[in-house]
Amino acid sequence: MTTVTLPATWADGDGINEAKLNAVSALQTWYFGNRPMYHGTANNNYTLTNNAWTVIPLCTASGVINGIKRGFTHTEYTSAITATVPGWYDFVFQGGFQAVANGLTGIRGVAVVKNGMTSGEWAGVRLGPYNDSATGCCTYSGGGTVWLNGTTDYVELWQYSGSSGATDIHTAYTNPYQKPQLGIWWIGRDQT
Amino acid sequence: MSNPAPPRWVEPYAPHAWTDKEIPDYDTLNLYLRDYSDYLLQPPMCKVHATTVQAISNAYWWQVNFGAEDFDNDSMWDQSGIITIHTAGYYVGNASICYATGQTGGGTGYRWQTLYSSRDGGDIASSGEWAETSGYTKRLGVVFGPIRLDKGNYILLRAYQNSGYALNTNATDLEFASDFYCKWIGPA
Repeated sequence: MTTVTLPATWADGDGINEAKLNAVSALQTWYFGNRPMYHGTANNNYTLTNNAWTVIPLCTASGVINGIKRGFTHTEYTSAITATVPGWYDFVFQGGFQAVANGLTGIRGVAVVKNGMTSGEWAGVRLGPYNDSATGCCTYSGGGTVWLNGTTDYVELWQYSGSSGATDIHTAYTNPYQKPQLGIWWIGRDQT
Repeated sequence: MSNPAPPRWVEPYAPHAWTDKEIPDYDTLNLYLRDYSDYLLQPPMCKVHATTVQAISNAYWWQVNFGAEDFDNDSMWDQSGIITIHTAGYYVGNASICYATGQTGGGTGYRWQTLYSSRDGGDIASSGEWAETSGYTKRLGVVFGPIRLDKGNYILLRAYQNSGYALNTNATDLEFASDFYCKWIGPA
């Protein structure tokens, strides 16, 4: 776990000294150059089981648009994104769905979940109806804020497809802007 | 009130390392303590919104234009639909497009909006949904980031719909105006 540098404190009678000035600079450097951030996309198609939530593996490897991993632990083509710095994080997410064009109706959803689906910690959810009456894909996007402890807490991207027929749907992959993706960045430490 | 310009930003940022017995001069203190602290309070950011109705042709990608800025402290907006980056780094933000209600073709087909990045040479994020069965005001939003943008790169919002007819955006009120927002969160 990485500890965020705290600002220096001057006591009565203290003068300007290099340690305190360097502490201020170190804090600024943290904000400017070392703020943890992550952006990953789904770089394959994944099957969404009908009427169930499916976790989406993400990728930040070379060639992936906007891929960045700084201050997070993540294995390529897996789902869990673990912060190494404690604090509050803002995030944005997008779910992408391929069309099936067979007249199915139902609900599609995308969510960012903290510490696994069984934890029940929904960090952000976007749900919407769909009606596959024409050929085409659709995406849903949203955002939120989540606290991560810098050691074990992790987030994942999940997608849901609940159709009127027992038909699995796939994530969209063909165009970059249709890919499922998750961006998350550190915005501040705890106030305790 | 006019929007203040962001503080001076020196790239690449290299923090000054004070040494024992060093007597810092005013210029060093102002640069490394005042300017960079001030920068944290007002990083480059821009928010603009549409002020006029824009027709989105059938089955064609259109650049969404904006007519007014809510704030723009790094001169990013070009008075139309282009947001040009003057400070390299990672950016986050959101954008939306809102269609007017009661239009012919408003209930069929599907609608997309995408965020185009000149650095990546294509659309990188989107929001697209099937149209509802009745024509009414429909607002689609897209969120993005962190995305890396270099100085001179630009980003813009593009709209697509295939209802079979041209559809107008709604710009009669801020509640329904298409908009765009981005904010610098760190150096590249």
